[in-house]
Amino acid sequence: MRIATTQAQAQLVQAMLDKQSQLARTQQQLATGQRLLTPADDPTAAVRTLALNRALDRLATFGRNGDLAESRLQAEEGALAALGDILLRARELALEANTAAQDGLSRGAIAAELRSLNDQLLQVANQRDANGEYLFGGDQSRQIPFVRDAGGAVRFTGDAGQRLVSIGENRLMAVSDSGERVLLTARDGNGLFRTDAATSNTGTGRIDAGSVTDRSAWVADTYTLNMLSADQYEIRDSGGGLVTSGVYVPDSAISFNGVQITLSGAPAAGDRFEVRPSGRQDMFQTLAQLTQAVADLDADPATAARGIGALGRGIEEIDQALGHLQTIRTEVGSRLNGLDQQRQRNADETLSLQSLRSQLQDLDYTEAIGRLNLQTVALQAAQQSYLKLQGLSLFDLLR
Amino acid sequence: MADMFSSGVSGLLAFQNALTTTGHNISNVATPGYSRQRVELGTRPAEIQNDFYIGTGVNSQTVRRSYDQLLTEQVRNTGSAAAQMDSYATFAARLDNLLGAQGTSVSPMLSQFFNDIELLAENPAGIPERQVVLTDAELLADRFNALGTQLDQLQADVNQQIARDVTEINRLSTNIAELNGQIALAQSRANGAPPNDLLDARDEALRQLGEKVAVQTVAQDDGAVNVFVGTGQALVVGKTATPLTTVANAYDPARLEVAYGSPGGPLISNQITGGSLGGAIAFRRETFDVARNNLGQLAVAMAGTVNAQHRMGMDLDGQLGGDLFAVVAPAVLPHRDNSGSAILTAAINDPKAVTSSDYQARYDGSQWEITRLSDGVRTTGSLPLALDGVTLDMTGTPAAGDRFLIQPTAGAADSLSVVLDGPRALAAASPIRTSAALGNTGTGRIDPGIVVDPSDPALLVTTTFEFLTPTTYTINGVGSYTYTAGAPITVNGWQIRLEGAPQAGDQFTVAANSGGVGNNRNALALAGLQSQRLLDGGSATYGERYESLVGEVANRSRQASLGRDTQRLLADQARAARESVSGVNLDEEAAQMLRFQQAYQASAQVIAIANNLFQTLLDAVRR
Repeated sequence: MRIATTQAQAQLVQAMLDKQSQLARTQQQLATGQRLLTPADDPTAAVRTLALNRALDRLATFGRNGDLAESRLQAEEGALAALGDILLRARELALEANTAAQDGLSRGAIAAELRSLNDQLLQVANQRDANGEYLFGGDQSRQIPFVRDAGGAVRFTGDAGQRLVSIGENRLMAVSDSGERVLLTARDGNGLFRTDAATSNTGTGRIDAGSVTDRSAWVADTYTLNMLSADQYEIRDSGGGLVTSGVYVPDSAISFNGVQITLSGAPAAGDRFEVRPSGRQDMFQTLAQLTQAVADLDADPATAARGIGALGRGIEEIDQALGHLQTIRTEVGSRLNGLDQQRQRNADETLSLQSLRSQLQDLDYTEAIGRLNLQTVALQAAQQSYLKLQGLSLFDLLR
Repeated sequence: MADMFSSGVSGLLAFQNALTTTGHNISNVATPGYSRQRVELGTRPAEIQNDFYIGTGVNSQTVRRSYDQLLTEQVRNTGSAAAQMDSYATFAARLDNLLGAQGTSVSPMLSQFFNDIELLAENPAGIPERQVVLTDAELLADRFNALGTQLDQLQADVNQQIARDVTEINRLSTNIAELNGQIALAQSRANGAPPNDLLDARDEALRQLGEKVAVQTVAQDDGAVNVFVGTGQALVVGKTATPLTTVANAYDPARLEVAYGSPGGPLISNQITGGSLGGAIAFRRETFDVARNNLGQLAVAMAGTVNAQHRMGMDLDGQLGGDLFAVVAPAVLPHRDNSGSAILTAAINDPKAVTSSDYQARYDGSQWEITRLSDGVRTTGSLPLALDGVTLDMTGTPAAGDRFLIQPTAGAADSLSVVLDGPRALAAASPIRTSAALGNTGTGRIDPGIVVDPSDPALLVTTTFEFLTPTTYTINGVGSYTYTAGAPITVNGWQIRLEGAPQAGDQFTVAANSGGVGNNRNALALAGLQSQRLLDGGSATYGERYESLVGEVANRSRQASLGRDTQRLLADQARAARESVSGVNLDEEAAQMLRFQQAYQASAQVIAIANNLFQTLLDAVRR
């Protein structure tokens, strides 16, 4: 093939230009550490990189959410533990109060401590987190949730809202529990039913908190035990139907409908005792009633008898409340566990996505530096061959 | 002896011509489009000497250029294709860089915005968290705006390229028409001898024209060539050139089209192929429009769906959420020839259903025909009319034949803005709260509920569900509804579910979430939008939509740049093939020069010998 002189030169120049642009590209890759300089270099990898970045951003967000969720759950767990401690102390005091070793003075001290425990309970219930939000306020987290009114009763002004946050793809985790649930929804009585002595009772008969013998036989209703005489009783349901009746023997169990209650002391004819299905207890109320019961022990015999009954029931209710708190603590604990597991999963996924992204977009430096050397040599060769060919002309030899 | 003189002189003259031509070749070694020339030598007619012929010397018959029509056309055609791919690839690479570069891409800000909302859900009443969401919403809108502006700039650059190319095409076609005239004249003057340099000049002009636009040529008997463009529009016929002109698009003045002849002439933008003009127009049609509309579609869908969810929430001041983003309404561009008084308006009614296509609406005298331009699907009917998430309406009276172009998404990316009034207005909370009465004896539960219609006037009215029996309930003391555990109950614009086993007398309440600033339900729902496949008929998330756009443009850009490399290679090969026939090789010319010089010297020697012979004769006679 004939080679035209200008064509040959143009080709050589083009070869140098091409090699220079290749070299520039490799240099840019080395400078940025990126294999892909524009999406067009590898459209599929570019799109996947974008998707991976998106997924990684999301995992990072889940990570931050997880950290915040953890601190929130830990704060809640701490508060729940504090509530439990207060109730445990109250239970100890209640047991202590009902011993013969106590006199009016020492019971006064116990009542005072119970009142202070009630205040502590309120304090913990109104605890705030690092953001200044009330832990137990539900969704009304900026407004104090538990308020003691003039009569000493505590009112809940929050709501039942529970906050969920995303800690993983399609994984929402509750990071709070409403104070309503924590402090106001434990069962009262012994959890199934609650016993009460009528305030109008004149005898010293007292009723214990009762126990369950056959849960399946229990029919939820309000039952009234009437003392027909000092040693005759009958139990009627809310419709007035007779359930059972018998002779009163102090300290012996009376069984009906799968439960048993024990009357003791000396009830008077006409005294009434009530057994009704368990409702919700207000823990503040429980402590207040316990305080009242301790004070009642030193009053007249009828009141003292009611006090002893109330004390027994109060201890049962504190047990219920402790169980309730324990359930919530277990939930919080399992959430913390779940959080840990999710974080581990997120970390694993982050690692695998990062390595995938790295494969797609990161430069193989060894290969690139090798390529850089090769391209430098090729450019030098092109330059030298250009110079060599430039010197080759027949005209140079014509003298 | 006289024969010898004349023969020698003919050699002198012929080799002088040959040397001149070699010199011409050498001088034109760098002239683009030059074809090397050769003097064609032939013997002079021989003389009859009784019974034989005797030669009388050499004759320069013609000067011929080394030329191959086919190779020249190949150079032009491959050059045309290479220029097209080059112009396409250059534009596409710019677009590709814009969409893909970390600094301009929408993708990272899109993630950032939704992840901010996810973090806001952790502390929904936090002003700093809210401020971050708002700031990043603005940054997200900025990214869309910046891309929109860059796209406008790209469109302006495409316009400029079109205008430049058309000017250049007109200059070259005028030049070719002039050369046609000169060639015909020169040919007739020289009894049909080819005017080599003029022919080369015309071939070069044609080649340059081919780099602007693909042309077809037809040679005429008088040596002229006629040049055609597009689907047979004549640029040059003989000595006359017809110009191309640029005119603004009939709907969209920001878009230049190419017309044949005068500005009122037929539009040939879509018929033009090849060359940098063809590349620019193809880029605009195949890649630019698609990218701009897809980006706009994403902006419309994102703004619309985020707004819809935001309106279902409650802000920090207890107000229902307003719009977070705003996008411009679809553009309706009337055709400049419309004669009726009708003004069409378009509004988006379902942002998820909006497509990336443009639409043409045409009134036929009785009804409207709407054509979706991406696939040509037609819909007919009277206005108002809802189509693909857009409602069209009209004021005034249309005339038959009136046309409008509707662009639902073209301007959306430019116009996306944040309209929320401060961080407190961010609706992170649910406007409703649900509760179960503390005295409930059953195990019934109520879920937090969702808002389905924030415009319901009774949305925030307290509503109580009370169970009459474990299986029936009343709503606000009215009616008796059968309870199905877990079934959605929709009342007053919200929807709740009751579950578990409620007992007679149990109560559940739905009420306004006043003071519920710690509620994050709407923030969760907003953040959840990014994982939902809301676009393209439920097949893509926002992020995936943008990624597929980047992928599409990257693919086109890659195709164009691969095509450019291929076409360049082909063009280089064609040029090398032509140069191997027509190009000047200086070594060859040097050798030729030596050869002709020697022949010239020899011819001179012939004359000297003839002179000697003559002298010898004279001397002999003188004695």
